[in-house]
This record gives sequence, structure tokens and C-alpha cells, in this order.
Amino acid sequence: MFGEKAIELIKDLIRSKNEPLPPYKASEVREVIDEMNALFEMNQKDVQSQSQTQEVESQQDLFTVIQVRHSALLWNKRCLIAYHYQRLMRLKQLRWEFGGVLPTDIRNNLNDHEVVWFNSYCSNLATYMSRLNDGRGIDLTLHMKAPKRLYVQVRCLLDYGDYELEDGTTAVLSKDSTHYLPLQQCEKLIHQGILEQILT
Amino acid sequence: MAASGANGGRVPSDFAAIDDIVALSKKVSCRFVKSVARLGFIDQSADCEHVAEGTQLELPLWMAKTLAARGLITVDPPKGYNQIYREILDADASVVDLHKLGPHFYAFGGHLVAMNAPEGEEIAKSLVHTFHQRLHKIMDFSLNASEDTPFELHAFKNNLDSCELELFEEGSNCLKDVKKWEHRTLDQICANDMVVSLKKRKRAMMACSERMATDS
Amino acid sequence: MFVDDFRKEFYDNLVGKRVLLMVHHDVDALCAIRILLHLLEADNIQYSLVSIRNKEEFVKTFNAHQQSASNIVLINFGATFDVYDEIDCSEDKCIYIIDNHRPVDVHNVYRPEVKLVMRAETCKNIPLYEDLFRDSDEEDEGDERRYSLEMLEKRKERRVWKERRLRLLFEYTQFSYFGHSVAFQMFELAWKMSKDNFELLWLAIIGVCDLRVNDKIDEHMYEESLRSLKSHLTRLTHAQNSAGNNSIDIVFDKDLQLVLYRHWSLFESFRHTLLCSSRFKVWNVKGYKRMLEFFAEIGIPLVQCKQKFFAMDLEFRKNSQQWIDELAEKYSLIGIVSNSFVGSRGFRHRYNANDIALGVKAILESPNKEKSSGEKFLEALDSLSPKKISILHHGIEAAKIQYEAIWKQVHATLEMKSIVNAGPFLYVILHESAPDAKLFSFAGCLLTLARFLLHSHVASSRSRRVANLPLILITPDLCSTEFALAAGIPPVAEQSPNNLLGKALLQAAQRLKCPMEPDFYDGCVVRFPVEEKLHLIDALVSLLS
Repeated sequence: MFGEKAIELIKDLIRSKNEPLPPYKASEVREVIDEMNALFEMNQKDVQSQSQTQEVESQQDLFTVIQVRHSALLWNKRCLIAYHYQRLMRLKQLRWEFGGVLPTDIRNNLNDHEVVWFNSYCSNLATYMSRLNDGRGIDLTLHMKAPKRLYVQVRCLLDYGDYELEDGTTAVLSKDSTHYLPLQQCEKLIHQGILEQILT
Repeated sequence: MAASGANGGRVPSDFAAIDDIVALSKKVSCRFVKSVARLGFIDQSADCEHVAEGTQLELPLWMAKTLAARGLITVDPPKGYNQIYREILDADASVVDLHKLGPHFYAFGGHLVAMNAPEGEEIAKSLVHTFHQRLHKIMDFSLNASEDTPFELHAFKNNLDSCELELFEEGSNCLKDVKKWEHRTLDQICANDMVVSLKKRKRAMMACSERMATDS
Repeated sequence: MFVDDFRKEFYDNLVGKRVLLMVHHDVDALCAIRILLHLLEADNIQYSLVSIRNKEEFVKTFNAHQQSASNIVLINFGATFDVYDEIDCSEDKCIYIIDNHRPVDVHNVYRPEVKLVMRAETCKNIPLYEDLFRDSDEEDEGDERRYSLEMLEKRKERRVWKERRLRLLFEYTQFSYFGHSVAFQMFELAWKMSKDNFELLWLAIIGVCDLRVNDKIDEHMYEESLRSLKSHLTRLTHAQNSAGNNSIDIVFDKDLQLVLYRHWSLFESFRHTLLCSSRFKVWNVKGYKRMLEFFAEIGIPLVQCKQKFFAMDLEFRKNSQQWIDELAEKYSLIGIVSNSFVGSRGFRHRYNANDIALGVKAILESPNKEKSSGEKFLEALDSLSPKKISILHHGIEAAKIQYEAIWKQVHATLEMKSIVNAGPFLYVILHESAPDAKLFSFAGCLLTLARFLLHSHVASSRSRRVANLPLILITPDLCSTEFALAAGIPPVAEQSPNNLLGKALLQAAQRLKCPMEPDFYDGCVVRFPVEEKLHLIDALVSLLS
């Protein structure tokens, strides 16, 4: 039946609601496009043969057939667009949550065009953010919550290695170590799940 | 083109909305009132070239819409929208499991009404009435249910249609925010949701592979 | 070098620079670090905090963090060995040692780069500098061949000096013992800086209680600490009356000295308290009956005794302390009711400081293999936070399991008569197959077991002499399979907690040429290769007899 492969793509999105980004279904997308091409060609053929048939009755039926195929075509198109659009929206969110560099497991799930889109989105965002604050730039992904104090106690959840602070000193972030750091400089690491804030 | 012409050529706002697409892909049973030549391909189970008058078919809603627009089929209101169910919903909508009927009960019903199905007007009325009856309970649950009764809460949430669920979540998030504001809890800066879910998946996968390694 | 003024010579030096805090795994250290963190955070001093269990971890952590901090604070370890010798430390770094382990290594005492943040007067009998170090050790070695009279004289004198040096050092390091609680010292620092409050005082109390319940300090020192804690409490209460509310109420009052009884049943906690169990000899039927008799005499029905304490009838719950106290003398249970600190948070949670010390220790020594030691440390650190009481409750449950395991082990050991008298000392060897061996792979629990074993043995033995014998307890270390742990505790009759067995074990190992490492927790617990088990006992017999 037409349109069934297309809806599978959408269902894949629903199934993976809790994942950051599922792998791109390249072969399925290809199949849907093939189906659309086939539909288009059949319609094309029927339209050309239409001039030969004279009966009004059969012409009516032919229109119906063509229209059914066409609506299948539009349906497939809608599913494809929705599939790609939703993926882009998730990708956009990933930029805000993970930052400009995606973890490799996620990066492997992108297709080439998505990589290009992601990179240009990153650079657009970076340009925009650097223009803010009278040209001095501001990182919009930070400071989502109002800070209570300048420094926070954080706990390191994994071995991260040396982390250079703005004052030139380094903090060694090894697993299960606790640190007291300026919020501004470690907020990103908290967002990325490397550090955990501890409220005492 | 009739299909896009109905929207006046512009893209509707829910064009890329997943819920709407899924609702449209649900099947309804249709009966052909006219025979149509060479349309046999839509009925894959029967191997004939034409569709005869009176043929009964299960078609996805989007296709039924096209055919109904040309007056070729009549659509039987599916379970949940027919006379019997309308009466049930009328009696007490709050006990019906809309998730089982839906899960996009309202969206699907809306499309049914829009395609001028028979009983369309009754269906529309029933939808509004159902929502009206259920809304109060949703609000009540989302603003009062706490973590102390996870079982009831879970059972209730399982009964909801997708758009009701959205409403419910919205309400309970608001409640959380208000509570937080009342208690003046310190805002803890947390890892982003996606980061957390990625980590969980990784851990689950590692545990799984470990188990497989020990099994073999 | 000792630091006289904690504030000027220690704390003020930390301001404005990153501090590296290395903390040992024990309750006193945890309390101390919580107090210190409170101070540092109030002054916005950046720090990194790492937990340390042994020398190896210390060196590794030091090397990793070397570039990041110029001030290094060691809490509850480091005093007993030459810190500078272990690490490759550049000149600009300063190491502060806050430790309750004694004796302090002489190198630490005389090195200016090492600052000992402890009261100098608690470290007794430190040999003089002149007796230990000579600047001109190797001079004139080139002229060895000329046996002038003067040279011979000089050599002889040097030999005498060297012998004297060894003797002095031996005498000094012979006994291992403990100084004041580090948490208490940190609290006094906070007090001098006028930053003390009830929470910090409570931590200091837990620190002191930890030393006491683990028998690290003697009655006298404990009383002394209690007195000053009490005066702090009075002072803070006065100050508080005018100020706002506080999250913990601390009371200093008479309380039953039964382990964890508020969270257990009277019956169980009676059985698991060292004093009661060894007095009644509950491991045999007669003793058990005597205990039941005791309960009958104080007038609490057995059903109530076996009930969870907080669920007991109000009348019994309220009066049990007084009733037990009245009969204490008759059953020679002196000291079963005595002064201690009880803290309450809200109306729901009431804790004896001793129980908290036990609970937190049980978290640190949890045998759960899925958690790394660092995670256990952080969990224990959290359990002391007023916001995370549920973790503390887990710890208290874990402490009960520890005590039950200890009791079972004592029962089994006495039943099997596996305590061997080797002449100068008693010893027990636990096997890997012992059901709770995994709990006893930790120094704290091992020492508690050793104390229970020794006291029970002495109580059930007819011979008077056993009261004067120390006990060596050897158990496999289940954390690292090639090693075993040995713990030595002084005889029952000995009043002071000074312990020479750690040193004795080390010397025996030296004779055997077997590698041995004292545990950071307590010098009298050592780790050595498991196959040397029996040789070690032999060597120890010949050494001590």
C-alpha cells in the first residue's frame, strides 16, 4: 500500500522520543522517494493516454485514479518533510545542550546534509552570540538559571583531565573529586554532565 | 489540485506535526458507492483491476479523504465515534480509555468531521462534550496528584489522549514551578536532559553487553 | 614544624590561592573537612578535594595535582611518615598536615616546609633536633686511612651518637596513639574566626565521638573534649537565643550507651553492645537467660524489648533509661548510662552522636563492590549534610549489619575455640570462607571485631592471665586477594589506648623481610602478603617473648 513506508519513518521518530537522535534511515528514505517517482511516472503515463479515451465515464474514473496516486505522492512528501524537519529541530536542540561538538555516538547518526546544516547552524549561532553585548559576545547557552553565588561546589562524575581556568591555574578533574570553582567557568561542564553541582 | 487546493495552496501550521500525521495514517473502513475503473491497486488483497460498487475496504484516513471528496465512498464512523460509543461518552466520558481508542482521539475525530462524514455533526458535538467532561479531571489531577500515589497517577495518565497528556504535563510542570517558588529552593544547575538520557542509554548498553559477555 | 596560631599561620595563608585538600577515609576526617569547607566557601577560596586511602593514592594524586595548587592540606593522614620523602615536591609548595595519628614522624616535626596544624603539647616526648640530625655527617671521610687518635675519638663518638639516635627513635615511635579530634580542632579554628554555629559544633561532636566509639582515645581525653564541647554548646545557645532559628538542636544529657538503640530494639542493641554482651556472656545459654532476667527485673516485657525502640509504649520508652540506670550497679553495668550529645532535627529525627559516627563509618566501609572507594567517601560526606538524612539512615542500617556480623563471628569463634594462646599474645586467624569476611576487610570494622573477640574471650576464660594479653587478628583482605590484614589490640587490663602492636608487627615483618604497609586508618592495622601469615605469627612470638 502506498504511504506505508513513509509513515514508518514517522513512527521511528516517535519510538526514539527519549533518545537524543536516532540513526538516519537512509535506505528507507530512498525507498519512499522511489515510490514517489514510480507514482509520478504512472500518473504521467495516464495523463498522456487520457487524450485518447473519449468516454466521459471512463475519463472520470481516470481522474480519480490519478488523484488517488497524487494524494499518495503528497502524503509521502509530507512525511518526508516532517521526518527531516523534526530531525533538524532535535539537532538544533542538541547544539544548545551539547555545544558545538557532538559526542561521537550522536555524530555517527547524522547524514551528510545534516552535518553541513549543523555546522552552518553552529557558525550562525556563534556569529550571533559574538555580536551581542555590544560586540563583546555572550554565551546564550549559559546562565539559564539565576545564580545564587559566584562559586559553586561541584563533584566530578568522570575522568576529564586538566581544565584550565581563566586565571591561568588548572584544576585536575578526576572522577569522584570535589571542587569549588567559579560558576561561570564550570557551568558548561555541569550542563555537559561532567560535573554535578552539590548543594550543602 | 484538489488536495492542496483545499488549503488554499499554503502550508498548514501542523504540516510537520507528527501527531497529526499519525492521526491521518489511521485506517477507517470505507464502502464504495460507485465502481471505479482501474483503481484496483488500492485493494491489494483482491487481485482485480477495477473496484466494484459496494466494495468494503480499510483505507488510511488521508486516502479516504481524497475519495470522499469526490463522493466515491462512505465512511463508517469507527469505534469510539459511532452511535454506541457516543452514548457511552455522553454518559460519563471520564472513565473511557481514550488512549486505547486514539491515541490521537481528538485529532482523528476532527478530520472525520472535516470530511463531511455522515453523523459528522453528532461526532463534533460528542468530541466537544467529551473534552469538556474530561478537562476538569485532568486539571484536578495535574495540579494535585503527588508522587505519593504513583500508581493512580500512572493509571490515570494511561487513559489520556495525546493532546490531553500534553495539557496534563503542562499543568504538573506549572505546579512544580509554583512549589519551587514557594519553598524558595536553591536552583541547582543540572546536566541537560539529553546529556542525561545519552548517559543512561550508554550505561544500559554497557550493562547489556556485559551480561551477554558473562552469559557466553 | 608545628603551627602555633592556626588562624595566622594556617588559614590566612590559604586565602586567595587554590587549595588541594586530601582527606583520609574516616569519620573524624569527614567532619573536619566539612567544617573546613564551610570556612573556605565563606571566604570564596577555591579548592579541590580528593579522598585518599593509602600512600600509593597519595603519591598518585599529588603528582596529578602538583601544578594546580600551591597549598596542600592533608587531613588525618601524613603525620606518621616522612611526607616529603615520598613525593617530588618543589620549593614553593606548602604542605599542611592536620592529623590525629600519633606519633608524628620526626622529619615532619623538623622540616620547615611541612606545617603541622596540631597542638604541639599533645605530641609527647619528641626527641631533640640535635639528637637526631647532624649537619656534618659525612665530613672527613676521605682521610679514613689515617688512624689518628683524634679521628678514632671522633668515630667512636659518632657511633655512640648513632646508637643513641636509634634508641631514641625506637622509644619515640614504639607506641601508636591518637591525639585530639581533627574535627574539633577545625571547629576551634572556626570559633576563633567567629564563624562557628550549631551545625559545625555538631560535626565536631561527631568527630570526637568517632574517636571514642572506636576506642582511639582514652576516657580522660574524651572527658576533656566533652567539657570543652559542652562549654561551646552553652556559649552558642546563649548567642542563639537572640538570633534566628537553627536546623539542629543539640542537648548534652545522660543517655543510654547502647549502640544504635534509637534505631533498633532495646533487645538487639543490648546484645550488640560490648559492655553488656561481655558482662552477660550472651553467647551462651546461661548468659542469654541472665539478660532476659535483667529485662524482667527492670520491668519491660520482652515483647516490648524486641519491638523497635521508637514503637515501644511511651511509658517504657520514657522510663527505660532510668530503670536501667537503677539496676546498673547490681548487674555491674557501670557506665551504661552516661553523658553524651543528642541532636535532633525537627521532631522526627533524634540521634546520639555516637550512632551517627557508627553510621557514617559503615558507609565508608560498605562492602559493596560496585561502588568505588571514592564514591563511598562522597556518599559518607553527603550523609553528614542536614539535607540528605536518608543517606545517613542507610548508613545506620549498614552499621546494624556490621554489628550483627561481628556478633555472629564472636559467637562462632568462641564456640570453635579458635582463639589461640601463643604465649606473649593471643591470636585468631579468620578464613576467607567466614561468612562476613568481606565486612572485616576494612580496618575500622576489623578493630571493632578484635575488641569484641578479646573482651568476650577474657570474660569467658577462667584464666586471669588472659586479661594481660594483647590480641592479634588476621583476616584475608577481600579487596585485594594477595593480601591479608592483621590488627593488634592492647590487653583488656591496659587502660591507655597506646598500642605497640603495630610497631611489633612491622618489626616482625622486617625480620622476615616481608613487605608490610601500615593502614592509614590506624597504625595497628597492617597489610601484608597473605602467604606470610603463619611465619608472621612465629616471628612475633620470638620477638615479644
